[in-house]
Amino acid sequence: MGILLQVLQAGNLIGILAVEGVELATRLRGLLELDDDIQVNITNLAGQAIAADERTMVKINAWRKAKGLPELPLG
Amino acid sequence: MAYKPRERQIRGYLGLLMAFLLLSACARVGTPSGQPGRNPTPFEQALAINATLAVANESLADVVMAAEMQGFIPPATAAEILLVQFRIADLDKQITLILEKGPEAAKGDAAKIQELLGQIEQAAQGLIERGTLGITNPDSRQRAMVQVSTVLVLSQRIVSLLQLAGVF
Repeated sequence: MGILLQVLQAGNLIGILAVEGVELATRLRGLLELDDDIQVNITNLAGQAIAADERTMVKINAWRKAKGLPELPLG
Repeated sequence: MAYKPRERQIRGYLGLLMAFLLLSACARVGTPSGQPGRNPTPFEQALAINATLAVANESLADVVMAAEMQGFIPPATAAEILLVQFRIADLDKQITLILEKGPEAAKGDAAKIQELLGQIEQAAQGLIERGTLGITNPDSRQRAMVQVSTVLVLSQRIVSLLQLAGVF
């Protein structure tokens, strides 16, 4: 099945997905503006991934603490 | 072929996501004015998709915590989902720490990367199989399902890009 047909099948969800797309694009701004140097890109992209992963773990632990649950060990 | 409404929704999410990925793959590397750009290598694309996965996982955690705060999901259910999200973040960080050493170094840890990506895929698949994720509010539920589907598709895309890059 073609991608376009799948998108059309989404029908009434397109509006919601557009909002999600904008959010994702905003969060990923600069991600695809790559440098000529491959190693620079690898370092930058890895840094962005690790930053997002660490933010996720910290947020979840803060939520668990607020709920009286034990915090999870950070990797 | 007829699909159930939820299956149709997920197929729609995945279709849009694939379109996004195709556009991403077409992105050019920035170069000084007047000079042609180059396409990102498969390894660079894998890193970009990996960063996208991390952001999608973070977004899912945001959605789940907001839904719990608004009373759309019981705290116990939110805690279960967030536990999976924490694990995905931890697994992804381990993958990233390997990938940031570069393609040649990553080849030496290919089996480990595949194992970690497989665990992420399993975790995301487990959440999708929960159906509604226990979220009662339709908007929050749809947003959460988009993010879970995104994590699943991206983990599969990273595998294929690393194969193209010669890591596996």
